[in-house]
Order: sequence, then structure tokens, then C-alpha cells
Amino acid sequence: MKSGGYQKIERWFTQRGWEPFNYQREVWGAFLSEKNGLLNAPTGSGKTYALYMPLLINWIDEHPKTYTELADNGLQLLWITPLRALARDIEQALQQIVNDLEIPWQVARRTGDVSSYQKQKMKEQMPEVLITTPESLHILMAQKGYKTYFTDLEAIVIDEWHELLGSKRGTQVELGLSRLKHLCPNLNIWGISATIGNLQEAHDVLLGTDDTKADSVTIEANIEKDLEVQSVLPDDVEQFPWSGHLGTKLLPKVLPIIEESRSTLIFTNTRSQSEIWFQKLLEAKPELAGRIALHHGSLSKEVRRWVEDALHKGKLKAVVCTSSLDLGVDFAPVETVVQVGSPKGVARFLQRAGRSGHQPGSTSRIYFVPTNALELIEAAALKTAASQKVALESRDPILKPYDVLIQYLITLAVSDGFKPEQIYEEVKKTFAYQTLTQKEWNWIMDFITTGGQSLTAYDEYSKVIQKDGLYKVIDKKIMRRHRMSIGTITSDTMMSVKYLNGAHLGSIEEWFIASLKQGDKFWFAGRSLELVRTKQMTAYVRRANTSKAKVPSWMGGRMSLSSNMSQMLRHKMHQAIEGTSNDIELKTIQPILDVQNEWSTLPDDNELVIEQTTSREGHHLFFYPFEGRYVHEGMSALIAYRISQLTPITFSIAMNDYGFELLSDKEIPIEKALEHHLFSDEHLVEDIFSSLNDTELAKRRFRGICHIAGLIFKGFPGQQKASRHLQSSSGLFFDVFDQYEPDNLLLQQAYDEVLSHQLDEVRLRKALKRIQSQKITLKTTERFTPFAFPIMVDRLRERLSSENLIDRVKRMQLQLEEHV
Amino acid sequence: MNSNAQAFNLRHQRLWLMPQKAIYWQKKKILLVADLHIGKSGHFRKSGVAVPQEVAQSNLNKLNDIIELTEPEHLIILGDLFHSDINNEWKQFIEWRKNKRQLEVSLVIGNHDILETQNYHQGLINVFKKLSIDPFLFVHDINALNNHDKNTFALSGHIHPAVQLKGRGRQAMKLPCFYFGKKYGVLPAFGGFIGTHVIEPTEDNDIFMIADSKIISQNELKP
Repeated sequence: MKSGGYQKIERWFTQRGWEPFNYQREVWGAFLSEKNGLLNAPTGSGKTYALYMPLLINWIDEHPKTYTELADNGLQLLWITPLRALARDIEQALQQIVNDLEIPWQVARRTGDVSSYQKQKMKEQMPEVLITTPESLHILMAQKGYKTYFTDLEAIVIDEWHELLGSKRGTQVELGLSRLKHLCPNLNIWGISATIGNLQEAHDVLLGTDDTKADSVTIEANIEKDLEVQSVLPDDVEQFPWSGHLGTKLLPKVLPIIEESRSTLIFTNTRSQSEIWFQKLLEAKPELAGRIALHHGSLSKEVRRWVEDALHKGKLKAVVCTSSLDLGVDFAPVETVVQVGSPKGVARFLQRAGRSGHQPGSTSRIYFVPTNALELIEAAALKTAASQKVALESRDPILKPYDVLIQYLITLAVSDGFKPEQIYEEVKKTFAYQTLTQKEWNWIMDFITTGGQSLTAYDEYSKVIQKDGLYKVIDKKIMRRHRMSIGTITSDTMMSVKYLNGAHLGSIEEWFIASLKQGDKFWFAGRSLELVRTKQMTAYVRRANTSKAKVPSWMGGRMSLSSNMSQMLRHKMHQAIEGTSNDIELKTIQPILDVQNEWSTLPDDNELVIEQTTSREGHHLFFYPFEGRYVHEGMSALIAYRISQLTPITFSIAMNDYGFELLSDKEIPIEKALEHHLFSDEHLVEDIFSSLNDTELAKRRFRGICHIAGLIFKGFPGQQKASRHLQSSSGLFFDVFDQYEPDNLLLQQAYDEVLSHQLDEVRLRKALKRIQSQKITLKTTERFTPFAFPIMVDRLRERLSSENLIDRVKRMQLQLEEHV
Repeated sequence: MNSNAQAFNLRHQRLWLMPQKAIYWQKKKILLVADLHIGKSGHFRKSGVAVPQEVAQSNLNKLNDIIELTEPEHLIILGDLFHSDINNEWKQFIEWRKNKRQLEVSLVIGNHDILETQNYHQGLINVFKKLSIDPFLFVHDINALNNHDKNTFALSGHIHPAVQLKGRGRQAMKLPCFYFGKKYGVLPAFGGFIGTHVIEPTEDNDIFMIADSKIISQNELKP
């Protein structure tokens, strides 16, 4: 027997000529019987209706007579989304539904984008539905009396959970949930995730280790869409660059694709690449002006919103974008997606493909544009992956990040204060902190109350203090600083970019602006701009009529090829050697593979090829394990360390997804090293740790940890000076902890993160085992081969040395001022 | 003089450049240091940022060691003695200073030195904007010099100078240094928990780098 509410919702569907999907009904049933769970559904499949409707059914059934009356109902639903940009679309969708049903609910957003006036109003009266990000949820919890916000809360939905899962933002969600579960014992908890390799784990992480997991469900939408994958190929591969990541060489071939399609999304991997593509498209086809647009995370929300609206309305022929448009509601006019450069993983590639073809009965269509010759092999691998339904990548959850826990505890101390015993119990029940020991907890409590050390006569450490059995922050300045720095995404200090009349274009990293002089021209937001002046944290600009301008090179983490992709890549190499494949991509790259074979050899999947060569710069060794950048990062440090134990030597190390290079000014004893179990997986962790001490990896990792744990404070917007005396760099923190407090848990966390996330110890060990069973081929080459060249030109390098510092210094030259 | 110090002759005076990031002017028994930033770790801790406390003790120990080593009559601090507002590390410093009454201590005020003049006087510290002891002029920031000052040779701090070194095989490193140009010299920052700023000297500058506990002149580098 269907309830009144259920029937009303069904009528809503019928009025629109729709019929609920089976999976939607399944979710409604589970939700209404008070089960928690995870819904596996892609974007654009009606997942919002799956989770919003049962809440409304309940509401109507519980208030059959009064649900259309205006009342002070309190917060009913919290909807967590990873992207601020998504919040607005969800807000509109959810508001529309209650309007249709004549339920006088208010739907609102609380994200970094929302004005403080709006936030203040919310404090007085919570809306019935609040859409927010993990950070903003924690900011809510940092307000005095935050518990009253959640008194009436019925349900919480974590949207795009797969995006949050593998990051510290996911841990923030886990901690937020642990608190809400306590405040609202009957809370309904649901996640929504796209398909990933570890759905069951995603479900477990979301629900934690307490009894909210009992009787919970994972429901799969099973909605399939047809997909068409094509590669854009160079006419003459001999003219195609061996290295590089821009891909503009193939831009003329992208023009007809844009022309033939109603609307096209062009995904690039970095913001600077998107700026360059936008500029080059306009140069190649000036008549596109006004019909193409640019979308990336540094543009102001007004600009982005305009682009999104124009895209919805079908006014744009193409949008050049970054991952900023990976998620979110679908743009119906988009028929085609272009991916420029390696997407690094099958899941991301398919997700982007899925942003096209939303008209009924249409197909998703994606074109892959390689940016260098070797990416043609990746192109072949991606095509096979898309057609054969290979296993998708997993998103591994972050385990026990101390920095996030420290931030959370301060958040609670800033609002109403907390009782350690109680919070410890709650935190222990999350997936992330289930193995947290009492000892680790005690260290963290010491860290926030005494600064990690027993107090001495001169010490004045003050942060969290005990008062009436509660742990609290009472210093107003510390409170204010903490509320300003809640979050786990660490970025450089940003400066806003404005026209002289005040119109806001977006923001750029401070270091880039600092490198410019007044009158210098640069590309931003798809225009060339001239820097007029900088004032406080704003760069004032005017339009410049020149195409000769610098493009900001935003530094971003370089992503690594997923293990599935690297496996496919090795397989494609093998097929190319055997000649057993019909892939057009492999046929196209054949002349370059021939060069590689002639100058050196082609690495088959049962051998490891090492190339040795000399140049003006010194002695080079190239290794090609085809394991992806992250594994190469660890393996190269390990191999460099092991060789450096045989003789005092200094290495400069570079890597890409195919291999890595060791470069030294001295001859490298590789033959001798190969006799000494160079690729053994014994003593792996010890050797890696020793090599880490000599490289900057852990130090770089510590930067994010410092921000999250509140050691580094970026200053208040517009008043950087007030906190000037509290400025320091994470490098200095790393050095002083390393020297005086080597057992500081945050320092250990930096090493653990390098080992488990960056170097991926598990994959590294597997790769070493594989290499041990392989044939090792050492080739001496006269010049850089097609495989070596792209690694050699990479300027981002690690260093490792076993030489005495003073000996090294004496072989170097002072970097003198450049005479212009 | 300790064997790791390096002699440098400037305006007919012999200066000993020390790997502890100080200069000893033997003839006048003057020890020169710049940018101590005492109280920095305490300022952080007081604001809820848990820098290890040992940073402060180590700074003071280093200062004490080099004074026992060189036995100067006069310690001149080229600015930024104390990092910020007064805190307990100031008390600790003053206690230390008062146990060395025979030592004259002078401070050339730097941009971080925001304490009241009486604080310095209570600590038996002479305070100057600039201090001239022939043939040198002591100052914190060389940008504060006016034309009149430019006839003497200035010794300063403020910049926390370091140089970038490059070698074959794409090797690179950064080392703190002493810098001497035609008109002025800059000392490396003495304090710990302080960053450096990379300068690009010209060929006719004299650069002395600090590597481990040694001073290396640019003349010792590969030609």
C-alpha cells in the first residue's frame, strides 16, 4: 500500500511524462525503511530524485494536513557536494521540486561563495535544506551553539562521494558525520558515487565502523550509455614532437570537430594549457570570438557562472576547460568532448566522455588529442579500455591523517568546547581513525594544549585550554585565525585580478604576479592584460592588444598514470613489437618506434631496458619500467640511493609515466650496481626512508600538513600585514621539527604520506618483483632516444647525493646576475 | 682564531668571517652578528603555533658559544635582535645578557625591533639608528642609507643573503653567504628558524658561502 506522500511524488513524475527508474524506487524503499547506504549512479541519471524524494515522502506522510503551510521546521536535509560550482545547480533543482509540490521549504547554500550577510541570516533561521561543502560543514561546527543547527536534521547526503573519498576532504566528511551521528541518533546517511573500483570500500568508509553500517545497502543504478572514442592523429608523425604537453600542433584538426558538433567541451589538464588553447583557437579561427569560452578554477565565479549558463542555453560552440567541469549537472547541448593530453586513468576519461550526448538516444562521443608522440600508445590503450570494460581505478581512502584530526579538534574547541573522552569514542568509530591508539590521541591532545612539550619556565604556549571539563580556545585571535583556515585544500596565496573599474576577473598565485613588472603583459581569463599596479592583494590590469604575453604556469600536482593504464600501456607496447594489433594509433607511431628500435631497443613486456649515454651535461641512465610517475618517483630514488652506496656520487633525477633518468657529473657504475641486487624488494622500506632523507619529497609533503594542522597561516584577506610576524615557511618548520622533535607525529605523517600515497609502496613492491623476473637489457646509445628525450628535457628534478657537501660545492659555479 | 674562520681584508682592516654566521673584527675586539630574531619561536607558540621550544635555547647557546670562542669586548647586532612584541624569551635573553656585564652590547635598530627604547636600556643595550666606527658604518638595511653615508663602507643585515650554485649534471644548491660589494657588505642571518633570500651577485663581488661548518670563498669554486 503506497502512502499519500509516495503517491504524490509518483504523480509529480507522471505530470512530467516521466516514470521513476527502478533504482530510484529501490532507493526510496531503502530510505523509507530507515536504511543507510550508498547509491552508485552516474551524473545525469536522476540521482538527485533518488535521494530527495523519499525525504519529501516522509515529510508529507508525517504532516499530511499541514505540509503546505509555512512553518519554522528547522534544518531537515544537509546535502554535501565537493564543488561550490555544483551547489547552485543543486539548489535550483531542489527548490523547484518543493515549489512544484507546494511545500514551502527554503533551500539554501552555504559555501565559500555565499555572502556573510546570507550566512548571518542563516544563523538566525536555518533553511530546511542546506547545500554545503565539507569545509563549510566544519565552519558551521566552528560556530558558537552549532548543535542547535542540527536539532531537526533528518538526513544527510554526500554527493560525488568518489571525488571526496581519496582525499583529506573525505576524512573531513567522516569526522563531520561522526559528530552528526551523535547529535542526531536517527540520522539517515546516504552517499552517491560514480563507478569506481572499490565501491564496497567507499560504502564502508562513508558509514564508519559503528552500527550505522548494520543493515545498510549499496544500490547500483546500472544505467549504460553508448560511447564512441576516436583519436586525433597527426598526418606526419615524423614532424610530431617527441615531448611536450600542450598539443596545439593538432589544433587545426580539432577545428572541424568543433564545427560539426552543436557544442563541444575541450578538456585540458592544466589551467595554463586551457588559456593557451583558448588563445590559439581564436587565432586559428577569429570568427569563433564570442562563441567559445574558457572555464577553469581561477576564474571568478561570475565568469564561470556566465559560461555555465551560456552552455546550458546552447549559446556556445565550445568551452575550453579543466577538471572544473568534470562534475555537475549536464549540459544538454554538449554533443562532443575533446580530451587534450593523457587523462592518466580510464575512469577520468570515461567520466569526461559522459559529459556529452545527453539528448535522448544519443551517444557520448570523445576525441583524444595526443600532445606528444608517445601518447599515441596511450591513445590506443584508452580506446581498448573504453570498449572492453576494463576494471576501473580504485580511490583509496586516506588513513589516520593527524593533521585533519588536529584541525577538527580545534574546530570543536573554537565553538562550544569538547570533552576528550567523548570525541575520542566518536572519532575511533570512523573508518579513517579506527586504528588510532590512545598514545597517538594523547600526543595530539598534548600538541594542542601544551604545544607538544612539557612546559618550561619561559614557555607561553597557548591554544586549547581546559575549562569546566571542556577543552576550549578562548583567545579571540586564535579563534578568528582558525575559522579562516578551515579546510584541507592547500594552495598558494592568491591575488585577485581586477580591471581598474573594479570588475573582478579571477585570481592568480601571488608568486606569478610578483614575477611581473608594471606594464608587463600576461594572459588570463582568455584575454591579454597589462599589469597596471598591485595594491594589497589585488592586481589591477587593463586590456592589452598584444598576443605576445606571458601565460601563468600554474603549478599543480602532476598526476600519475593509474596502474590499470600502465598495465594497458605495457600490453600495447608488446602488441606493437609483435605487430599483432590493428590499432591505427600504433600504426601511426610505428616510424618513431622504428627509430627507438634502431638507436636502442623496444622494451617488451618481459624485459626492463636501461639506456646509458653521455652528453655535455654528464652521464645519463634511462630506465623504462612503464609504471607511472609516482612509482617511478620512488623507484628512481631507491635506485639512486642504492647506487650511491657503492660510491660517493650526486644524482639529478627526472621521471615521467614511462621511465626515469639518473643524471650525474660522474660516471655511474651501473654494471657493478646490477650485480648488487639493484631491484631487490628486500630492505625496501629502510632504503626508501634513507633515500627520502636525501630528497625533498617529504619536505614538500609537509607543506600541506602544516597548513591543515594550523602551523602556517596565510593571513586575513586584505590585511596581510597584521600577521606578518607569524609568517614562516613549511620548509623551516620541517627543519626545526626534524632537528628538535623527530618523533613529532606530523613529521611522521609526512613520511607516511610519501610512502603510501605518493610513492605507493604496494605498487612499487609489485613493480620490483616484476622487474626481478624480467630480462634486463643495458644499451649504450649515442644520443637521446625517442623514449629518453621527453624525460631528459623535464626540468622538475629531484636530487640525491652521497657525497661530502664541501666536495660538491667546490665543483659548482656561483649563479651570477644575468647581464642583459 | 678558530681554524674554520676565514680572513678577509677590507679597508685595511682584517675581518674574520666565521661559519657561525658572524664577523669578528679582531683589532677592535668587536663581534658582529645580524638578524637574530630572538623570540620568534616564542611569538609563534604564544599564538598557538607549536614550534619546538628548543629553537630559542639553541639560538642563545649559539650566541653564547661564539662569544666564549672569540671573547669580544663589544657585541654589535646589525638589527632584528628581537622578532616581535615582548615575550618570555626577551626575559631569558636579558638574564643571559646581564651575566655578561663586561661585554658591551649595541643594537642598530632593524624593522623587527619594535620594543620600547627603555626595554633595551634596561637590558643594558645601547641603541643606534646607525653606528659609525671608522672605517665602517653599521646599519640594518642598506636601503636606508642616504648619500652622505655613502662615503664609508657599510656593514648590514636584513636581507638574509644566500646564493644559488649550479654544477654539471644539473646539480644545484642554495647556501647562506656573506656578501661584499664595492660600498657595503651583508651578513647572513644568525638566528635559526629563519629563511634566506637568494641574491645574484656580480663577478666583482666577494662572496663567502657557509657549507656545514666551513667558509668557502667563490675563488675556491671550479673556474
